[in-house]
Amino acid sequence: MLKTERKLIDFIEKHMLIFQMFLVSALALYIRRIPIWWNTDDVAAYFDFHENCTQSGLYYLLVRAVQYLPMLPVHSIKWISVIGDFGTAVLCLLLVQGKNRDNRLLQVFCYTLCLFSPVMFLRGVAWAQIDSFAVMLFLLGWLLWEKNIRIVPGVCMLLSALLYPCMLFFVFWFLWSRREEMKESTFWIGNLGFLSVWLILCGLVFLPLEKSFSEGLKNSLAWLTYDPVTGQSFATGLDWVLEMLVTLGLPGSVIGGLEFVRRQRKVSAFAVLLVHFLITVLFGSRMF
Amino acid sequence: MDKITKKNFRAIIATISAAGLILRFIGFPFESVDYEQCLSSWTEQLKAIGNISAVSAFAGDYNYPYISILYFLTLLPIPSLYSIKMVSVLFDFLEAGLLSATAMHVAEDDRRYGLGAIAYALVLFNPLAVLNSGYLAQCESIWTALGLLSFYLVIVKEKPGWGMFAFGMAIAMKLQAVFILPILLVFYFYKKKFSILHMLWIPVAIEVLCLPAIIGGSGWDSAISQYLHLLGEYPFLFYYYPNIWTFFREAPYYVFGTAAILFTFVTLLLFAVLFIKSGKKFYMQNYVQYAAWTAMTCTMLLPCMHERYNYMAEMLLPVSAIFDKKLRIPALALILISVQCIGQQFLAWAPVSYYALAAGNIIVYFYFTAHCLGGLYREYRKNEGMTAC
Repeated sequence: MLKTERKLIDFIEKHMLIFQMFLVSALALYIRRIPIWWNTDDVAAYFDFHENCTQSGLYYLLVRAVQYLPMLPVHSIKWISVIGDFGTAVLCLLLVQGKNRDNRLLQVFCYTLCLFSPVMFLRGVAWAQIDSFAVMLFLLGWLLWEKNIRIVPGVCMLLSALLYPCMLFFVFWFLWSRREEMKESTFWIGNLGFLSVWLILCGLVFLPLEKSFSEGLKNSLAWLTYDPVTGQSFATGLDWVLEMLVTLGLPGSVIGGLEFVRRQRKVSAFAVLLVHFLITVLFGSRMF
Repeated sequence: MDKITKKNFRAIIATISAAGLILRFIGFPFESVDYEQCLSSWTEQLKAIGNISAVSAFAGDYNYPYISILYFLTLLPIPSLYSIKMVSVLFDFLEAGLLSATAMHVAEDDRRYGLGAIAYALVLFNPLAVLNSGYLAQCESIWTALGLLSFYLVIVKEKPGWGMFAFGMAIAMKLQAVFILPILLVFYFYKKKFSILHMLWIPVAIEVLCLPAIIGGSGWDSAISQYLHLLGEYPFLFYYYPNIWTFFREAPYYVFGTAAILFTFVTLLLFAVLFIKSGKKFYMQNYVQYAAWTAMTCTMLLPCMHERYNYMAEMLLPVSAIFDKKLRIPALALILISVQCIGQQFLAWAPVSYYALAAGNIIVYFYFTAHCLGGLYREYRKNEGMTAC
C-alpha cells in the first residue's frame, strides 16, 4: 500500500463517524429532492379543508402562510417536513447522547437510521405530511426537560400537539413515564392544565380560518373518528385500526426506537426492524 | 470429520462430484423458456454469421464475454443446449471448489478435510445450483464462481492483483458480480495490506474478456457501452425477485429508484463502519458470513432484481451455516423460498404469492441482519468497556 494511501485511510478511520455524518446528511438531502415533484393521488384531500377534516387548525394556518413563499404550497410543506426530518435526527442523536455519552457510534448510527428511515422518508417528503416536524418539537421538549427546564418543554410539546393532534398521546405517555420526578398533585394538575390549554388553543386557532371555536374543538379529536381523505366515519373497526397505525406510525417509530436504544429494552433488533418495515408497508399500501 | 484423511477426502470429493454431475445431467434435456426464446436464437444468429464478427454484431441483452463463449460453443459439434449447460456446470465445480478451499482455511488440523467436503457438497447439491446450470441453462454459476474466485484470492490468499483481475472477469460476465465488491472494499480498508491501485486490473480484465468482440469489430469501449445500454433497460422497482420492493411494486421507479440504491449504500456503509469500529478479530468464517450478508443486502434492497440475482448469497449462506448453527434454519428457508420462486417462474410449479415469498425472505434477511450487525455492535461495546444502560 502507498504511504499516502495509508495516511488517507488512517485519517478517514480516525474521523470515520464525522465523515459518516456528513455523507449521510448530504445523501439524505439528495434523496429528498427527488420526490418533491411527485404526489400521491389523495394529496389534495390533506389540504382542502373539507368537512370533518382531520388536519389541525395550526396546520391549515401554516398552509395559508406558505402561499406567500415563491414556490408551490405542497413543495413548501414538503420542505418543512425535510426540516422536521433533519431536526428529528439531530434531536435523536442528542437524546441518545444523554444516556450514552461515550458511545459515539450509537449516536451517529441513530442519526443515520433516523434520516434513512423509510417511514420518515415516505411520510414526509413523499406524502407531504409534517409529522416529523411535530415529532421534532416533541423531542425538543423532551431534551429540554432532561436539562431540568420546565416551561419551554411544555410550550414545545403544546405546539407539537397543536400541529399534529395525535402527539397528545405521546405527551401524556411522556408525563406518565416521568411521574416519579414530581409530586402526585403536580402530575395531575400538570396533565389537566396541559389538556385544557391545548383544547382552548385548538379552538382559538380556528378563528383566523373563519371557523368557529366549537369547530376547532371538534377538529382536535376528528383524527380519531374520521377518514382524513373522505371525511367519513370509518366503515369497519379494521379501517380504524389501520388508520391509527398510519397516523401514529411515524411518531411511534421514532419514539419507540429512541426508547429501545436509550433503555436497551428486551426487544430484539429483529423485532424492531420488522415493526418498522410493517409500518413502511402500511404507508406504501396507502400511497401507491 | 476427525476420521477424514487426505486420501479419504479425495475419494469423497470424487463421489460428490460424480453425484453432482449426474443430478445435472438428468436436467440436460430440459429446455427452459430462456433457452427457447433467447439462447437458442442467439446461438443460431452467431452460427449463421459464422465468424468472430458475430460477437460484435450481437444485439441482445448479455455482455460480450458471455456471447463470446456462446460463439465458441457454436464451433463445437455438440447441440447448443448441452454445450451451454456444460459451461455453467464447469463453473459450478469451480465455485464448489473455491468455497471448499475457503472452508478448509477455517481449521488448521485434520478437521479441515471434513469442513471442505461438507462445503463442497453443500454447493454442488444446492438445488438452486442444480436447477440453474443443469435445467435452465443460466449463467449464474459463471459470474458467481469468478466473484468467489476474487474473494478467495483477495481475502484468503491475500493476492490482490489476481483477485481484482478475477473480479474484473466476474463483472465482465455479469454486472451482478458487483455484489462481492462491498466485502472486498471493507477488507481493503480494514487490513490496509494492498493498494487501491490494484483495482486498475478490473478494466484490464474486462478488456481482455471483450477481446473477441473487439477483434470482431467492436470499439474498445464496447464493454462500457453495453453496460450503459443494459443499466436502464428494466426500470422497475420489483422485477420478480421477492425482496422488499414486492410490497411497493406500484411505486414509480423514476422517483424511488435512486432512493432504493442509496438506502442500500447507507446500509452497507453502516456495516462497514461497524466492522472497522468493532475491534473484533475476524476469522475466515466471519468473512464468508459477511460476504453472504452483503450480497443478500444488495439483492434485498436494490431495485430491479431478477429472481436469480441472489445466487451468490444462496451459495455462501449454507457454507456459512456450517460454522454458525444459528444460520442453518435461515439458510434452509432462503434456499426453499428461492427454489419455489424459480420453480413457479420456469418449471410450471403451483404458484405461491410473491407477497408470501417476500415476507419469508424479509424475515430471513432481518434475522441475518440482526445477527451480523448485532454481533458486531456487541463486540464494539465489549471492546470499548461499555455496558447496556
